[in-house]
Amino acid sequence: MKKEQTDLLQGTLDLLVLKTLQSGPTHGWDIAQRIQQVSQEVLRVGQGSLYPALHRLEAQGWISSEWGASENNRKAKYYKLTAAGRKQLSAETETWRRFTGAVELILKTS
Amino acid sequence: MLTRLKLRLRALFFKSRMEEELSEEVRFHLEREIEQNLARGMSPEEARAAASRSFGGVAQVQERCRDERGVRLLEELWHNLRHSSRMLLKNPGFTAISVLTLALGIGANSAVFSVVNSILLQPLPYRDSDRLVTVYQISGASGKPSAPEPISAPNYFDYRDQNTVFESVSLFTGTNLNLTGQGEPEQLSVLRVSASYFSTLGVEAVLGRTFSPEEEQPRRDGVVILSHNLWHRRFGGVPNVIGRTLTLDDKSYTVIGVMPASLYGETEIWVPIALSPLEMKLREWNHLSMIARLKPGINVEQAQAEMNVIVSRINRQYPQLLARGGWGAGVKSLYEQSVGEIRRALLVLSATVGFVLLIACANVANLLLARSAARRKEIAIRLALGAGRGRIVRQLLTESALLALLGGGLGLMLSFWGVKLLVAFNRENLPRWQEIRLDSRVLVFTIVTSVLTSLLFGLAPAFLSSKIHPVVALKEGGRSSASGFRRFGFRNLLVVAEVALALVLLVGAGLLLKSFARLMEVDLGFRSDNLLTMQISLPSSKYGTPEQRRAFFERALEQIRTVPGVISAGAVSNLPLSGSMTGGGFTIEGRAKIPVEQGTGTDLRSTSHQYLQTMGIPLLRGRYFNDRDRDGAPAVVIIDETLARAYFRDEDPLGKRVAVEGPQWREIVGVVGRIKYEGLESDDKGQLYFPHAQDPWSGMFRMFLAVRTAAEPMNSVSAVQGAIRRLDKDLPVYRIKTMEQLVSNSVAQRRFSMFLLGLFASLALLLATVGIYGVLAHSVVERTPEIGVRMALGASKGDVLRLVIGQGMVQTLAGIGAGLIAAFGLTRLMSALLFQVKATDPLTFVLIPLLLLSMAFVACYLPARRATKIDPLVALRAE
Repeated sequence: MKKEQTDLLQGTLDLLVLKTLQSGPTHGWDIAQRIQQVSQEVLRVGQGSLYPALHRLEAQGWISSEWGASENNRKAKYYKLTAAGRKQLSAETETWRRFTGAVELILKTS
Repeated sequence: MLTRLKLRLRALFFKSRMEEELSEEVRFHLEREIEQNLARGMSPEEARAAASRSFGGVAQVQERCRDERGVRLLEELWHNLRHSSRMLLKNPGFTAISVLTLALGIGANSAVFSVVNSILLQPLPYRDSDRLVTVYQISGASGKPSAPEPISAPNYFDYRDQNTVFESVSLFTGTNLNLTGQGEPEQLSVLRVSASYFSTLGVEAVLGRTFSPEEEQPRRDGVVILSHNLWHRRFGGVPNVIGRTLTLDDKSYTVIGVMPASLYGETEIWVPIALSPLEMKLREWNHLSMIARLKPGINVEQAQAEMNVIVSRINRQYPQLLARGGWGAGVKSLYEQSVGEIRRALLVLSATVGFVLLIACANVANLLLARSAARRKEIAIRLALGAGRGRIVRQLLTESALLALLGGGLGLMLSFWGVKLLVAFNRENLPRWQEIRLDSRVLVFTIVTSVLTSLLFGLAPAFLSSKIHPVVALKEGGRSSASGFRRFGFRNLLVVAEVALALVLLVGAGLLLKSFARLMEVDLGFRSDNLLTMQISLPSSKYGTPEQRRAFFERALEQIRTVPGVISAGAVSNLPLSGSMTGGGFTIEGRAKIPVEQGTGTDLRSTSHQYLQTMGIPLLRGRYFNDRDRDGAPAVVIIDETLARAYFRDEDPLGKRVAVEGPQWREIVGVVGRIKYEGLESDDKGQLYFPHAQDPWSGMFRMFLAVRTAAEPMNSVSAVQGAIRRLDKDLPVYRIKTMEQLVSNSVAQRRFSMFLLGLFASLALLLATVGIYGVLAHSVVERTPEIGVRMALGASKGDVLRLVIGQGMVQTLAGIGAGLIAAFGLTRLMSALLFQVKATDPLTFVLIPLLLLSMAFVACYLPARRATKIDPLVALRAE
């Protein structure tokens, strides 16, 4: 049933989370929602992958967290990009573009 | 960077808060998901169910988040430690036995290591001590070198002046002098040294100065240097000790310096060497020692080669030296000289305690394996809950490490006391004993040993335990014979190894025991029972002439003979087993040059005329001395069997004449039995006796008295001292010991090695026996169902006994077999420590296995008996 949904590789998920946070501090639920919506329902982040990813990114120092009030005034943990995270984002984006560009070239020739 | 660190620290210390936060986060997420589901039209229950399903296992998510936090290892370690301590406390019996076993093993190793460390591994307490060597004399034609011997002064000066390999050299010799006028008279251990002694060693005075070259002259040598110990002991450690005078052997000396505490040893006072004209002249009179400092870049071999050249040069100049046989100079590093003898014994000891530790590890490993059988359910559950095998192994290893560290700590305490005891009881035989202590190196050694030990006994059980298949283990309850077999094979292997190791140690101890027994059977050549010995040295101020000295000893002996309980008394210049030496040569009338086959010539003994009878040395031919053999009467000597056989093999020595230390011819009037002079193990060296009234040294200043008593010699001590005091009340009497004590002291080192090795071998035997018992007992417990079945099918109690004991004995026999093979190979390494016993002595190799077998049988019997008490019905029901 979930065949069309692509399983996200760990590194890719990191990239997406960082990108999502580029637009401003967001909490976990919203990050998942946004990835889903912006990718037009192609990419769906399992919660089992999201939270470990968030903790990993925080451990690396690319994002930081803060408790705040959500839209409906409940306590939620907001994540935001750090300076190092911003640098990491552009680096990973660059890597991704190069990677997919190469794959494209190969696919074009056959 | 800083934020990362902060995060890690937060994760470590505020763990519970972080856990809370994570739960909050997850809860928030779930709520939003539920809201979304509700919005999509699901019912509340469906919404909740869908949300939880899509989330996945909450616990697992939390685990993975925790994993990412990066302080996993530390958290885990902390958790492991807490869990391990709880487990150890819950099983006090197991913990106590394991910790004690480990403490004995690790403690023994620490103790031996501190001794090895201080004696073998630390450099000597001198500057650049590896550059220091001793130069000694060896004699022996036909290539068989003798033991190192002292050198003579003329040779020393030639070595000093002709060498190119030494930066500095020094002469020294030891003696004893009486310190008087300072309160209690005391005999001090003194070193006569040349002025260059301290600079050669690289030691400087902490107070005052060292000797200057002029002070080596006999007239200017009235100066002394004190040892640090003596300075504190007799002079209060005050700075104004410089310039004080003291009296040694009735001669006055001024204190000019004090040595640092780091220069410790037996020597308490140094005086300038002040060689007498006789010492300077006689090239054959070798009684001095020499140390030298090698020039940079020169090694011992080069120095040795140069000494050989110098020796041949001396021989060319003085060919008459070769008349007594070939001789040479030897060079040995000072370190080698100091510790060389004991090194082998220490290495054997280290290997021994190493083996004991291995056996201890095997026992603890077996205990762990036995316990792991009981914990299989716990481990299975944890595996099912998702813990990786690595996690389980790490946890079990933490337990082992905790056990080992506890054992190591206790062992360190044990070794502290053990080393104290060891030094207290064996002081004389351990070189550098003052330096033996537990220092930081020993501490590090103990910690490393504990860690390695824990790996050794913990790794295998940890791996084997974690191999449990969760489903199988949980289904079968606590026991199963299937996966247990692999563990059992390993346990059996451990027991076999233990037995083998114990056998090797026991064989070693048995060989030493036999050596010692053989040693004590050696015939000394004289009667050592009920013999009191002592030493008297006469100050030259009161006894300046030979007549005075000789007369004193004669009268002293007369007085002593009147003491009730005294059977006879005699005096001699050198008492057997006293360590004193007077050697020399002699010429037989009518013969040209005599090649000397054994050592430098002969031991020369100046004796009172009843000495030989007092000692119980049998007369073989001719007569003993009597009181007609005095100064002015015809000069006579008595030789011993060794000399008679060597030089008068086919003729009668009586009546022949010899010249000893001078031109006067002396007639041989008697032949007595040979004695062991240097010690029970020494070769028989020829002894030549003359009456002290006729000795070539103009009357002895120092003689030993030997007093044969009817009963316990020590009872007569005060009476004998009283007799001497009546003649001269200021004359102290020294080294009062019975001959039996001297004999016992001479074998003290051997006895001690035997004792230690025996102690550790017994420990090993005990541990191995306990190991056999433990494994067999546990095997019986595990095999209870099987035995129950057998009994139900008709096996008798005898059959069961045979079954269990058989299992145990098979292991033991395998261990004995392996051990015998190992022992055959290994005991060869200790043959240098044996005396008249082969390294493959058949009796030992037969008796020890029998001993082991009988101990093993006892160990097997108890579990076997318990096995016969198994009620088949109960056993089968429990299955």
